[in-house]
Formats: sequence, structure tokens, C-alpha cells
Amino acid sequence: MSLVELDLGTTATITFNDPDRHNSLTLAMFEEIDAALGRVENEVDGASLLLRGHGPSFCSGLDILTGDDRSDRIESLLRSLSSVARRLRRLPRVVVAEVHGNALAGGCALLSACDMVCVEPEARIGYPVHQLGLSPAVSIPTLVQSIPAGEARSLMLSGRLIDGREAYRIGLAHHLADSGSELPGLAASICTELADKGRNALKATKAWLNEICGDDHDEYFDRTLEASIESSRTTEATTMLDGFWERGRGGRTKEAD
Amino acid sequence: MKNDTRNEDQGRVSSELKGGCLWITLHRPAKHNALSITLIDQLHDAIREAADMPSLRSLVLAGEGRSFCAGMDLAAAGDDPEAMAGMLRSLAEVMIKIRALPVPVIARVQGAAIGGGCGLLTVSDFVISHPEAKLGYPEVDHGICPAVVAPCLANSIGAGRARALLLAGGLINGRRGLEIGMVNTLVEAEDLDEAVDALVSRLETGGQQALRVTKHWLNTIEDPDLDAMFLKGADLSARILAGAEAQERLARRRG
Repeated sequence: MSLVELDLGTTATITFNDPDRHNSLTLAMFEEIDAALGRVENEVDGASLLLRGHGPSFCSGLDILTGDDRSDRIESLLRSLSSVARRLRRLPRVVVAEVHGNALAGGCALLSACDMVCVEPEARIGYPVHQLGLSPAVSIPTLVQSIPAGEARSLMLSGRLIDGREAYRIGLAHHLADSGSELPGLAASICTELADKGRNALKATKAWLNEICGDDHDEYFDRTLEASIESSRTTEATTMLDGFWERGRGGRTKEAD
Repeated sequence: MKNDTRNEDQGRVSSELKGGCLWITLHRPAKHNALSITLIDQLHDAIREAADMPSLRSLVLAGEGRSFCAGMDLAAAGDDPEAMAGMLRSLAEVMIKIRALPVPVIARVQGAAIGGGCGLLTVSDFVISHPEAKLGYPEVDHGICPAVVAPCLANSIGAGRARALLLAGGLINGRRGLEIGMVNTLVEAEDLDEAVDALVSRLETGGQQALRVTKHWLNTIEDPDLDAMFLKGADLSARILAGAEAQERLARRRG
């Protein structure tokens, strides 16, 4: 079973497919996302890419719970996340996110890199990672473009979770479904409408918006990525992550029993 | 102070001083005030005159009839890409001039404000409209790139919302315009004049030089390179407009 499903076409669709783990982003998942994005990039004639997830959540963020060599793995995960965010932003199609359930930290970083975001009212969105001693700085370049600077500060620094309605109010989401069951239909209809737009006009408009916003420059992406990596290697992060890891392992052992 | 009618079909622009407020009005109601070459030229003249009025306190942009402005009248340029490029550049220049006006600019928006017409809203300091107004940038529907308005729109409503709006094409109503910050004041259509007058009166209570200083610095801090971006956007827009995709879609529209 693959961790990512890909449909190609005028609307390409990438569906995260690790429902039991709320589509948390592992290195294996990133490998498949990379491959899927590569195929979408090579399909020249498309209007949009829809990003969605199977199971209870869109994406619950980087998988920092499993495996060994924790700090090296977190670095690799952060590098992959930053790379995917840049590729989504520069993809010559309109990238639409269909966000249900949790979109946390790395998951929130992905949606902030999309051009349009559809949410269900009960979605849970935010960056609850300072509590782990980690900095979500890697997501700043796209988040500060997505919502006003004041909202971005409040969301990131507090680590609070907001629901879909609040995300819509502050501009992190652009379409609010009436209910969770109506979300897939809403996202699909947006992609269908995009297919009727001038393809060259869409590409030129997205490229121009990227130029205006400085999204073509790697400098901010690089610097914030390095900052997140650095913060994950501090003693503070090690201590806080140890505690989180122990609690997580304990929780999962209990479940297994 | 009224300009004379030049050519009814192509419309005209009037300037009328009411106290310290200059009303600049588009008159081409049969075409929902679609911007012809004549209208854009006269708008240039009217804005230039306004910029030289030392005792001016505020300026209102308005349109006669059912709509504020339905956008660029690309039919005027026929199928001549160079003429279209010229119109786009001229519109970009008039937007630069409006934004640079030393006094607060209020857009009084009824009915449709579409494409280039909606672009006039982005360079105004205040937008007063009503819930049923039809606003937005359907450029990508026609294979066109809304490059002229993009930089200013990104500043005024935020880059994320500008991105989602411009890539989606289509239109939004005044209510949604208020939610995303494209409209500052929303009143019932019949109350538009009252709302405009109330704001004009309020602005007249402020110190004249203080308002001019504040506006100058808002323009400067917001984006000192914006003028160059308008012109670059006009060139990009003209390039996309001259392409096969846009020309095919425009020809289909002409029938």
C-alpha cells in the first residue's frame, strides 16, 4: 500500500494515505510526495493540483515520534518539508488544499504553501510545537504571505489551535464548507472551475504573484529552515522531546496492550 | 468646474468641486462605464488637475448609472495587441497617479467594479459599497493576467487573499468584499451618498497637512517600488493578452 496516491489529469490529486497515523509526515511519506510532485511537474497541461488526506485528518505534521537518530531525522524531515513547500509554491498550477481534521505544524506549513485552502468548520489548525522545544520558523515564509503579520505572530507564537471557521476569518482558508461531508465536493468544484480558466493566464498570474511576494527567492526559505533545524538541536529541544517521546511511547504501548 | 462632453459613445469624465472635495465621475452609463481610451485619457487629465489643487481635502471617484466601472473596454482596441498594450499601460499610469494623490481618495462603488474598474478600488484609500455589488478580477476566465492590480491588491488585502482571489477569477459580492478587506464600509445601495458624505465630512475635521503627511508615508512605507511594479505588470499583462489563448477567448466573446 502506498503512502501517497496520485491521480494525474487537468486536476491532479495527491492524497496522503496513512490514515492510522493522521497522515503524519515520515521520510517514506516525503519520498512518495517528492515522486508524485515530480510527475505532476512533468505534466505540462494542468490547471490545478488538489492536496488532500485519507482518514480522520489532512496531516498531523512531521513524524517526530518514531525511529532512531532523532535529531538527524528531524533535520531531514524539516529539509523535506521546506523543499515541498517551495515546490508547491512554484508549481505552475493552482494548488488547492482540502483540509479536514488536523492540520498541525508541518501539516499547517503545507497548507500555507497552497494557493487556495478549503476547510471544514471543525478542522483543527495550528503550530503546537514550541511545547516540544521546536521552532516552526520553517513555515514563516509562506505563513506571513498567507495571513496578516499580526495574525501570523499570534498563531505561531501561541501554538494555539484554531478551527476552520477562524482560519476562514483570518484568511488562512479561502473557502469554508458548510460541513465536513460537503468539503470534498467543494474542493472538487473549485478544481473543476479552475479547469475552465485560461491555462497560460493562470501560470502567468501565479508566477507574477510569486515574483511580487519574493517566493522565487530561496533566501528566506533557507534561513528559516536552518533556524528550525538549529532549534531542534538545542539541549532544550532534546530534553523536551525526550519527555514527549517517553509519553508518546508510553501511550502507544498502552494502546498495543 | 465641469469638463465638456467630447464624445458621447466613448464617454467622458467630469470633475465637480463640492466644498473641499472633488468628485471625479465616469460617464458612460450605457456601457457600465467601461474604460475606453477617451475615458482613461480624461481620467488622467482630471487626476492631474486634482493633484494641483492646494486647498483640496478629499477626492471621490464615482460612476454614473448602475455601475461604478465594468473594466477595460478591450473592444475599443479591436484585435490590435499594441493598442491593448497601450491601454493597459495608460491605465497603470492613471492608477499610479491616483495612488500618489496627496489627499484621501474615496471610491463610491455601486453595481459592478470589475477588472480594471476594480483596480481603481485598490488605489483608493476608502471603498464604500453595498452588499449586492459585483466586484473582482475575472481576468483568468478570459485568458488575461491581472498583473497590473496584483501588487497593489496584495498590499491592500494581503498576499494570500490576493493570490486566492486572482487565481480563482470570477466575481464576489460586496459582502464578501467587506470580509476580505476590499471594501471598508458596506451600506445599502440607497445609502451610498450619505455614507460618502459622512466620510468626507469626517475627513474635513482633520488637519489638512497632517492628512497629507500621513498619506505620503503610508504610500512610502507600504511599498516604495510600487510604481515600477504597476508598469512591469502592464507589460506582463500586455504580453499575455497578445498570446493565442487570450486572443482566442476574446474573439469568442466578441462573437
